[in-house]
Amino acid sequence: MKKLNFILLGIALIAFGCSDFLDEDNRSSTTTEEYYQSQEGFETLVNAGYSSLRELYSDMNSENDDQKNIPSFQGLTLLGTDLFCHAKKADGNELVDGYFQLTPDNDWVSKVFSNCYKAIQLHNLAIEWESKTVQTEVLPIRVAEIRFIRAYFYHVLLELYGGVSIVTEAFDTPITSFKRDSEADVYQFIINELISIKDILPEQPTDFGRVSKGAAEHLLSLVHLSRGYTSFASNDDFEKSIEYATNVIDSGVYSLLANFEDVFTPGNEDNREIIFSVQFDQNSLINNVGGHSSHSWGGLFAGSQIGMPYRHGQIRPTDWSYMQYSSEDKRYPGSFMVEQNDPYYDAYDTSIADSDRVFSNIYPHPSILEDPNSPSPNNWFYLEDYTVWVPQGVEWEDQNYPWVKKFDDPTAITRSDNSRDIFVFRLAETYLLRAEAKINLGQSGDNDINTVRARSWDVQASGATLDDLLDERGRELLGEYKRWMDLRRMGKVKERVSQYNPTVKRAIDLGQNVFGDQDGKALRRPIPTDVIIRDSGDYGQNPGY
Amino acid sequence: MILKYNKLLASSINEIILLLIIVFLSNIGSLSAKNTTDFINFDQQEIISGKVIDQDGVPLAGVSIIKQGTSDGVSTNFDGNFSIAASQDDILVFSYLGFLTQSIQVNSKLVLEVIMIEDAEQLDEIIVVGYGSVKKRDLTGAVGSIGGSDIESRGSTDPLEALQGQLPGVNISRSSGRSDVGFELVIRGQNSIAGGSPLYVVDGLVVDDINFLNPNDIVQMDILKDASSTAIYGSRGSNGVVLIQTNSAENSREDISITYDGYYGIKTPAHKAPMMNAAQWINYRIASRQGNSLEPFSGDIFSTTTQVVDASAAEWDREIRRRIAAGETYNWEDRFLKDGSRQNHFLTLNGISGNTSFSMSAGYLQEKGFIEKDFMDKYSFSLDLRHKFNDQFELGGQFRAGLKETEVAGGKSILNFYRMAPVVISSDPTGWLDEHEGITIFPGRMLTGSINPLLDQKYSNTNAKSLDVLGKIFFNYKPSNWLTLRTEFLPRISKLREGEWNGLYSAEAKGNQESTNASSRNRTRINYTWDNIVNAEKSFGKHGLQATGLFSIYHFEEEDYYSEVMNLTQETAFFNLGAANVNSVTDSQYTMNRLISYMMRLNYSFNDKYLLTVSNRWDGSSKLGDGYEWASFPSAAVAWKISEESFLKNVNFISNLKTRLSYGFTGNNNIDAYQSLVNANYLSNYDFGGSIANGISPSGISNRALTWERTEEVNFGVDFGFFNGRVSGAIDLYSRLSRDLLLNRKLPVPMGWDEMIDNIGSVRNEGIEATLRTINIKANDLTWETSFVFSKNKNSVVETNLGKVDDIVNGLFIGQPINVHYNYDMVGIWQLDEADEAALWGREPGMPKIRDISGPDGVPDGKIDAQYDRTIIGKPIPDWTGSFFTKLTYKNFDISMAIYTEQGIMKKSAFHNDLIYNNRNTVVHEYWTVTNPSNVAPSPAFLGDQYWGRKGAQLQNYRDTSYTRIQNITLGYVFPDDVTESLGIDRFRVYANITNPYLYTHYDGHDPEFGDRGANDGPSFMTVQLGVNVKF
Repeated sequence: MKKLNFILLGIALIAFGCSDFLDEDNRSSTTTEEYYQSQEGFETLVNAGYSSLRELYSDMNSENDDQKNIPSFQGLTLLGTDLFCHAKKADGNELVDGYFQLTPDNDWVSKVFSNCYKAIQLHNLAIEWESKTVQTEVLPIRVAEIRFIRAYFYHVLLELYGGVSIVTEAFDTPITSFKRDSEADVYQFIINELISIKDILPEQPTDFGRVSKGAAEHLLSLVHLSRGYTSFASNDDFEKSIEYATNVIDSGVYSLLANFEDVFTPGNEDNREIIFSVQFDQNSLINNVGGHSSHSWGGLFAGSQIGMPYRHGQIRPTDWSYMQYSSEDKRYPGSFMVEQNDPYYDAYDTSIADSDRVFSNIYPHPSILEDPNSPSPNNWFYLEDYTVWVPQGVEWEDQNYPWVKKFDDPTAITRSDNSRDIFVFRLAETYLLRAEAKINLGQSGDNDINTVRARSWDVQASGATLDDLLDERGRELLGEYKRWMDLRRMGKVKERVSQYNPTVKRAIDLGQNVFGDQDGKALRRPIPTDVIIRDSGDYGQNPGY
Repeated sequence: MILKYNKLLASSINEIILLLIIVFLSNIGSLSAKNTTDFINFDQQEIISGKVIDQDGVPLAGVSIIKQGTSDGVSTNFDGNFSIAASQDDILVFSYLGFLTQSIQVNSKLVLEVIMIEDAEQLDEIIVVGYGSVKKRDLTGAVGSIGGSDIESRGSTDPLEALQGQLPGVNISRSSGRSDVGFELVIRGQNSIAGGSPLYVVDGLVVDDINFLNPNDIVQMDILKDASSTAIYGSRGSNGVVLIQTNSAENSREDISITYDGYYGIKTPAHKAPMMNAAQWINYRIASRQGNSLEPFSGDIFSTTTQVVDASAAEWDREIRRRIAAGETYNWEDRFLKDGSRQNHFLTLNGISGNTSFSMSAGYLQEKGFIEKDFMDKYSFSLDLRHKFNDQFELGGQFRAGLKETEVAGGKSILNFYRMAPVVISSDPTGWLDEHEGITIFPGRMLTGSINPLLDQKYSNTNAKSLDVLGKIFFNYKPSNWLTLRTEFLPRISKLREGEWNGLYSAEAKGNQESTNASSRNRTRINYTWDNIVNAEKSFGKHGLQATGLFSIYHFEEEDYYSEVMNLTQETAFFNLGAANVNSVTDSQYTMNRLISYMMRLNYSFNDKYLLTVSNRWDGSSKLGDGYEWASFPSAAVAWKISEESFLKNVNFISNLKTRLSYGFTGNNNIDAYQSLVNANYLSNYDFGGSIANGISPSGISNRALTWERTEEVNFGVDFGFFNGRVSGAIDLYSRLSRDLLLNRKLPVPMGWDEMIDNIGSVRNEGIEATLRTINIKANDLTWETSFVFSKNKNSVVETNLGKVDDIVNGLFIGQPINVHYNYDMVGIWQLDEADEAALWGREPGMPKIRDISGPDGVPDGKIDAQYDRTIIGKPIPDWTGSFFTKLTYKNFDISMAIYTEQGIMKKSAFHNDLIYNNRNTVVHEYWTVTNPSNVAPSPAFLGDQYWGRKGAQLQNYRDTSYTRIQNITLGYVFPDDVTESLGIDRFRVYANITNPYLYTHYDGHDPEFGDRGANDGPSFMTVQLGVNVKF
């Protein structure tokens, strides 16, 4: 009986003795509270903040979604411009390309928007931790780097969607509604942020790829330039743009490479021309957003053919993309794979003697073809024949055209392991920004244009207009995730795409109201449906949608 | 108010329990002293002997004879004889399953002959209600019970498969036709938006599933449905509770008995989807090329898909073209599907030796799928031992082990053979599979974009092996005949290894060695439950009282290791991950959660007419945030046995009439552990100039205020029996409201986080359940019985996180069921004469016409978009389900049939989505062409989602999946006693059954029951089985 009493007593003791029985034992993870206290932990948060750039540039819909096989940011910044249209007959990409079917529930539109805020929330968290983490010498620089990246994300939001909510808080409780700030406020927020951090940032960071003072000034130049076109522009926006661009150009940190193609040689991404780039590296791709930058360039089912890289071509250069180059312009062979090797990546293998190379396609410059309307023996033909709506006729599977090669990575095997850096800002653009600001002030931008052009094309610019500047940007920065924003900033979307984009041209022929009310679709991308219906208030839509 | 009160109670409960235990401790001495005095009277007892027979004079073995008010008892032997020591005043209670219990006063009789009367309604059946049991006649809640023989007779390989259609309000559906079948069990409708399955309790141990059991293991399955029954499982009771009793020493009745049950059957694919033959497919392909052009298509339908790379390909090409010209169909289904088999062998050994009773069982179950490589093997073993030291102390233990291996033919081979065009053949006439066919030249590959499924099947593999070990040690102490103390420790270890391999010519690798991959997951789960139960039972005159108290702790932990490699150098599947060049994923995880519980239950009966049950459970869970861990779950139920009232006692045709009313609360903590913490564990790496920079961001946004989902339910039921139970049944009406539902709440986009788990919204389930069982004929040689089961459940969202407003983002609509189909409304196909109007919408003739429902101004705006133009087009749960069972017994023969039906249900078929492409095969259906202006399906030229509606709408996949199925027809024969006796056998039955012989449905996919699943899940199957039940 005594024993039994002990047993029962034991039960009673366990019942009341172990008050910590219900505590969670969280062995496989560390809470943020513990982890970001340390310098090491905080650095990982900053790195994650950098990594959000990879997500913005690389995030791609899953295989089962529509508008797949092309990163949403790439789609939104390149398709529906004068230089690029969709390559496949109909996979959803024509919605962005052709404008009239672009609705707020478009996948890319919502993914880019949410990726931006996802990143901003992470940046806000890192900024909030500045006061809570262990204080070190590099801490102010790290926080300035993150604030630059956050400002860049706001710049992207602003350029694509117009006024959006300025969110600077790291949340720990649900918020049901957000106010949409005006475009003027968002411009001012970005400018204020950049001014307050630019002098904290080093001119030459210890690690390649970190934010430098030059990056902040390049972005300041771009943001001022962009605001200069608006109705609420400050009197000195274009002057400021020139000033910051000049600071970058005169800093001595950056210089143009002698040869255009060298800027894009695989493996040469850490070059003197680069001001800021999204870093990719094979080893750090694991468990992370893959590098998708080359996947959408090229043949539709190229991956199923021996010798071809694994591609799922969704973006196709328009005729104008090729025609804008003179046959003398080294940027034509520098931007397009005009001598296509078999296997494809042999083109980058310098150990192969030219006599040993096998060429599957050679694409001479269009201007030297006698009759542009009849296909040459090299299978080259023009997009004039290319119809996006009718299933018969020219097949949309076609891949025999010069692919954009600026993003090729000969080490990439799958669709998601391209490890080339993506250039965000490079010095050639800084010159073009200054030229653009000067032209807007009635000054000559010719010198800056010719500085950029000198290495590629002998013809000198003279009395360049904004349109000439826009063309120069097209030739120099082809495919570098900027075109739609460039057209929008200068108010040239409608004019340019109506002239050069085959999807839009066809829609106009069909009598579609391509750009919506007040041509709103040529001015901004729509505020995504998700943003509107998840907000308990009235977030508001952009005109035209 | 109730909630607040209960929280108060929860906090003070510690003191109450402590007090109770102190009271028990101090009383134990005196209680046993009193017992000792009782023993003295036993000197005066005599040995009473006798025989128990049934109405036909057949001796009954194993009848339990207990002296009323004591636990002293014996059972009859094989000849129906018994002897027991009893005094004249003792009342002997004779009970036997299926017969009415009889109480007989000994008086002066030394020899008794007792005739047991068969109980058609089985009111004495023992129903397990959790931490105890009651007789069916005394039940106050809604509990469905099913015996082992009803499970075994279905010839199933999964316990849940056997249960389908047998109980009202219990909806079971198969999720695949493959050998690794899974079943979904929903009791009284879905009440948690997050989903969740019922709580399974095997012999007292909470487990997450029961598919490690052999169906023959199960002696009885009780399903607690209403909240008053499930409330004693508190925080885990919301989705219902399934209590399973397995073969144990408790069932041992005699010295030794051995049974063998076995069957073998052939499994054949059934109810296959109507795939196109060559001629139909070629027409379809031509239609896809012609589109809405008025010019008949005259080109080559393979113009861009065949690429002649070398001579052998050219030869293939010619062969394909010849087949098309000749209209020869290659039937891929026939090539792939073959007969499978099922067998089960189960041996049990039960016995009693002195004060020790024991039970052993061993089973082997095998299923071979109708697709090569698909199989399942299940080995099970159990041992149960009990020893009674004396009337007060009993000790026992149980050990159970189950080893299961399932293999599923890997990759996408099943999906892809459905996709294969019927003009493409799988191998050349010599059986040779082209090594390159996955890569370049095989016309089949170019036509369908798929790898040859034969190669895929050969080069890929998915295999899972699991070992489950369950134990139980219990100790019973019965200090007095009205009080029992029991402590029970129930551990379980479960190990699982899942392996997957995609070799060189699998669909995944496509002949590229760098894409070959293999992965292995190893998971160990350890959990234990420690229950301490006090049970007191006493009658005072007309008052009967039973009280149960519980203190329980539960612990669960899981360790998980996962590794995935790529670029394999050997074909060693997932058994040699080291032989790969790239280690792509390595992951490990630890998770645990715990629960502390107290429970009190009181049953009171007055005059055997009025029954009352009240209970409360207090649960504390580690998963919830500080300050929110504890909650209490009260319940109450009353029942009135009207037929016992004097005014009905003499109404002869009413043999039983009882009404029940119950009310209670249950909870659901069906969320992952650690949800209230934010972990820094999301890897987002970066690099600076090529040197790695580890990035770690938070896993999400936490919610520290998470609390339990609570379900409140009221149930009203009537049990009836007329004409001595010849007509009997029950009707239950219920209404349950689930609040504070745990759901991943979608957050406004500028918050940056997509969602956070939160307690939001409420859902109501209302329904009616009815069973009617009639014994239509009961003559000497002939019995015919039928039963009907009917359930209707209405599921509706009452409130969302936005209040009484539709939450479109989370797919919740006020008054509509959870997961309702919300999509665009297709009203037809754009016809040729509507081309101009269609163009305004960016459409062309042959594309679906979508209804413009509304716009920003509340009126149709001439645009189709997600915000304004979607509506509710159907619901994924049935209006009602029903089943019908009939059994005819003539002499030694019995024949039975079960039918099950589900009506008014729409599913989104992944099968049809898998076959959407016009370069692949699909099911025969009506589609639009210029000459056939159908309004059913668009032209195959426009199959992308864009043309079916809007992005992601997949309107083509919605199907009515109502069906009626004959589940089972069984013919059995029991050998006559004289034959079996001469063989030294107690009972010998042979039977043949056929499952799933007939299906009536409009669904044109595989099987409407898993109509939401894809082609890779295969068709359903029919089995023809032969089996024996032998008892020695």
